[in-house]
Amino acid sequence: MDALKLSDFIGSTLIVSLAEDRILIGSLVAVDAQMNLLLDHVEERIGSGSRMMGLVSVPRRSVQSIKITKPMLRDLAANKFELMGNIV
Amino acid sequence: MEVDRILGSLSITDDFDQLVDVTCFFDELCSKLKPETIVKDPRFDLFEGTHSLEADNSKLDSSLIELTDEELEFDLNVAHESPLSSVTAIADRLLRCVISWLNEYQTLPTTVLSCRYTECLLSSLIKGTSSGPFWNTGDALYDEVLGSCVLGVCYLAKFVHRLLSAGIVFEEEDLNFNSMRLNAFNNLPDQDVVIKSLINSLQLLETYSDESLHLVMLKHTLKITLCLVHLEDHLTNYSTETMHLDELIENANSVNSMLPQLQLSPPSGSFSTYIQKHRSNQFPPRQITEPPTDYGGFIILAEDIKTVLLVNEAKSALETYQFANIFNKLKQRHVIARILFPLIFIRDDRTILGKFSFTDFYSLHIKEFSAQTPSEPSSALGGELIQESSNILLEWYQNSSQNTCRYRQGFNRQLILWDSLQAQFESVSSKIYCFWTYFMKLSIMIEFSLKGFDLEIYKPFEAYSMFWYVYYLSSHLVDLLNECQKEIESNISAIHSMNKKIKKLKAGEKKDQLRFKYRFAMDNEMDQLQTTKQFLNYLLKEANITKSLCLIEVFQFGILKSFHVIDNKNDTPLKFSDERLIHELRFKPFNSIGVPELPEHEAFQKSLKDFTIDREESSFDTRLKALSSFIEEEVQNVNKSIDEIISCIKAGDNNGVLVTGTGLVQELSVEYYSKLKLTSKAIAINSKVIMSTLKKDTDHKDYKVELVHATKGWNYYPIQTLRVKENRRK
Repeated sequence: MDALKLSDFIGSTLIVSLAEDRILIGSLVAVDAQMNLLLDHVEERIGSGSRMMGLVSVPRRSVQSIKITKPMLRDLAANKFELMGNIV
Repeated sequence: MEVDRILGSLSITDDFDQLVDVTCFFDELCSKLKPETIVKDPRFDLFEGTHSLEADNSKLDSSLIELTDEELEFDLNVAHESPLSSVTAIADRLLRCVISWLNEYQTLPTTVLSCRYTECLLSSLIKGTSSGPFWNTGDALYDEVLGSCVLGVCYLAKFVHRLLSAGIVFEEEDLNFNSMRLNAFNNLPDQDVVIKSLINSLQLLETYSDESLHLVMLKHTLKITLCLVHLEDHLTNYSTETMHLDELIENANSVNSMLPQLQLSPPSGSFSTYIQKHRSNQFPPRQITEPPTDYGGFIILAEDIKTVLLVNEAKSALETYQFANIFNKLKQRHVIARILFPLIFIRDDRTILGKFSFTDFYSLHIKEFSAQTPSEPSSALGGELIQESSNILLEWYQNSSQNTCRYRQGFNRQLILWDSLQAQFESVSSKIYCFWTYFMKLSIMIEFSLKGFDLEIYKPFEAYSMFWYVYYLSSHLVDLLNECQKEIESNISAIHSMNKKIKKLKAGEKKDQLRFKYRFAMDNEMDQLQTTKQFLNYLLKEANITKSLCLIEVFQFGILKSFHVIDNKNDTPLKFSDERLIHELRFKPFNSIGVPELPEHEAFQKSLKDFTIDREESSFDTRLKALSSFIEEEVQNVNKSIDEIISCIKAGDNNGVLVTGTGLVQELSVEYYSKLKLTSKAIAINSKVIMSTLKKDTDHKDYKVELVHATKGWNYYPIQTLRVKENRRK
């Protein structure tokens, strides 16, 4: 767990839940100390509807949850592990 | 092992067993960052981030758009009450949205795409329905008539997209085509299908016995749509037929006279921000545009395209040159006309107007300017150089249809190109090419400099330097044109002297040969020589007008400086700069120009000193009076020259005095010179006002100078107007 840093998540697809069943799925471009997120290529899902919104900043106060797919997280961790192994 | 350890430490939600909640993990990691830290993709520029939308910010998040119940429940498959008036109102508003989009530079989603029927039609096209009906109300007015109208408008949008894709104008600046990812325009049926659909609708309306104005209005809207669908003919077939443009004007005029008598109100929800909330949208929410109240925009569109089509009638390079010079100069033409001009002029088959190859067209300019048939420069570079020159010339033509700001920017880029071209021609000693290239370069330098006054780029204190520099440029232009004129005169004399020689020679072979040579020259060269001579006469008059007006402006500045009302430097002290740096920055575009060399900053300063009168001088009043008389005289000369030009424009190019090449843009040219004359008169009046005010009032510190455009005048020469500083009023 300690091995992964925020920078490792840059470029990963995050599933960000906001209020009222609104979900933003996008690639993490930047995050600051207040956990405001900047996502690119954002797809918005509300109910069964979906649309593209491009580059979207998501303030921390609007974020209900941030999720990532299990395989992606596994890849991130594996890459990190491999990288650390190479350094050693 | 490490992977499992990481995963094990995170909670996997029950609902999405493939998703891992990392909120707390992110919170924890972020809390360890310094407050000012931003973790970002190294390739990402945070400046780009300023263009992002912000979730849950009502000004930036289109998801938060609040729709009314009517908008939410709007059903396209329902025929609303009073179908005739409803359909007429929808079609009318949609057409006015087109005007708003194309004439008033509004966005597509806030105009045409705000119509629910347009959105529906485009969605249907994505799904594969291309022939309609796109909605099914059971009422022919909705399903067929409105359907064909919306189809026609979408077809126009497809044409506009094609124009935009040509890369002539700038998206967002000249035209918006945010289609909200409704990229269905290519699925639209062919033009003949759309036309047929509109004609069928018109025929259907003929069967209606209703005699209301709504029916008449609806027929007009369909006819207007039909004309709009035909616009692409001017590009697809390079059609010069103006029948549909005339019909467009006629129908728009009829609608304009009817509109005040009609109460048109489209059904609630039929025009809405709905699309911005529900379709892919990378932009902040925007209110839908309130379209114009009449169809005047279509008249402008049609008139401007008709003007552009006139270029097809050009008989010489002089005419195309003058056309490009003037057609977009007095007012910015409709964006469609501005895009069409270069596309019609420089065709896909790599010809100019379907008549000349690029290089032949280029040679035509040289020929008409020098009255000599150019041969390629002998150097090995020749062919390439001619090719390069013709490309630069075509770029000049393209630039003429740019919007008013890009027009000047385009010339900035062209300065270096023409300068380098001139240097290359000099290296291969090609006089006629050099002359013409130098002429073009000087004209562009003058245009670029003076256009800055129109765009209000210069501060009043910069007026002196700019006008003095243009005076300097126009002096060079006058010298060049005189030299060209001498060449022409000498060629004309050479032909005439042949005749004298013939008379002196005894009959024989030598005499016959000379007579043949003389006749050939008279039949094939004299006309062009006379035309060029008269064109150069015109250009000389024009250059002298520029020179005089700039000199008058320079004198006015000198007078103002003599009274200490203004100086050619910023009166606010600058911490990080000085007057020389600011001056050099302003003249940076000319810094690399070889000929004429940019004078040093000191030369500008010295010249201003020469134009300024020392107030302590005993002859101050006498010199001021002399200046005033000089300005008056110079203005009279300018006005006389303008009058001569105007009368020659009106008389056509066979007037025997001046060839202006303005046959295709006669009215516009007269308007331009009339504006110039008005400005010249306004400058003369201003001189008197300046002198009388400043002589009367001794406290000149209370005055400042503003650059004011004369009403209905020509903005290249603003009036250096005296204004009382605001604090005086307090």
